Amino acid sequence: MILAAGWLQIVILPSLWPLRVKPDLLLIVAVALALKEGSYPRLIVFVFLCGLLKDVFSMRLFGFNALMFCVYGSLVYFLSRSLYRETPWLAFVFLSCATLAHYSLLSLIFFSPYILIGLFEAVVNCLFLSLAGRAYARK
Amino acid sequence: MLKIPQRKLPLFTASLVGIILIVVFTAYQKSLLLDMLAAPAGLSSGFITDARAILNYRYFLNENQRLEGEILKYRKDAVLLKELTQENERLKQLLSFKEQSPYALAVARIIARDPGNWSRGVVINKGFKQGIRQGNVVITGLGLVGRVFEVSANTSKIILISDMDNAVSARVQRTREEGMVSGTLLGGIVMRYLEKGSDASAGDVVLTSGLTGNYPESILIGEVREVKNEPQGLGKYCVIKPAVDLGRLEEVLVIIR
Repeated sequence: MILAAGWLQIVILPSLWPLRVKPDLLLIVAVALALKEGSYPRLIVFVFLCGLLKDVFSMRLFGFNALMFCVYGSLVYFLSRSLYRETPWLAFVFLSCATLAHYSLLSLIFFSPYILIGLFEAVVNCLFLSLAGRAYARK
Repeated sequence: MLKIPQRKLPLFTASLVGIILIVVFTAYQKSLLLDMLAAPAGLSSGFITDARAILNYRYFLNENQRLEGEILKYRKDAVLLKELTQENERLKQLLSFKEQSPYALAVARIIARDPGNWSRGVVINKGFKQGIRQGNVVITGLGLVGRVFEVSANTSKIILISDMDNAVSARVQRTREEGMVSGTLLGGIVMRYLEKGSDASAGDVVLTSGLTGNYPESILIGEVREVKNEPQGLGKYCVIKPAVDLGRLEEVLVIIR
């Protein structure tokens, strides 16, 4: 699933997605895994791989995505365990927060207003998550 | 010899004459007769055809599936042919540009794009084994694409001119004004640091100026779309329409010398 999401995001989506801001499929997969996965060590391995795959094709800050995906995955994992996990909008809240946190850090590091892209990407990620969730439920 | 009894002769003669008259009559009316008989003939032949179809449906079903498969195969071949034709055209144009260009060029194919939304870059299928070096300028037959940011053995990362952190020293061809072209947050391109009294206008061509040495001189960047005042009011900037469609790149040329 990680490889499929990576392949879609890196090779397929840039050609097909009509908007300037693309969904971050690897982040969506990482947050979904953090909500569903039972074993923490296994979760860390998976989310690390998600981030690393994104880092390999990124232009700058190699390792940033791998590190931050582990942080987001851990936070989502522990927070979701103290909340009622079956709440349907919980995934959207975690995904939005992860996206905004990611771009906030980028804005701080580069002193550029990347947070504005983060706002658009949070919306697009949530939209994609709902579409993917519906398709999965129908299956 | 046939012997007809004498008392039956008139009856026989009358019958013969009647038959001859009927034949002559129908000869004149055969088209009317044909029309009258065509409808039931059509019905019965249709019935026979349907009956034959019912009896042979399995044969027709298989034949239909076979023909559908062939149509599908030909459709796929047609799509592939169209794709190959377009690729051939693109590569011919690149080759023609490469042969006429004063630079030593390496053709490379885009294999992936930056997965993030905050930086703009692509990955090509050539690396230092093919003579690519960090900082090499990347173009197409239409204009400037970017420069090589990172090189590995068989791949390289190209940072596009639409990236916010990639600055290109540029010049407006008509007015000779110097400025700096860089990307915007959503992947557009602007030329900044124009003077307040800048004469640049929509339609002006923007080229690399070669001042910083990162890019050779006189490579086409794009065309001015509109000129605006800087928010601080100290100068002007213009929105550039890039000569190369950076979202649809498939092959690029890397200037290796």
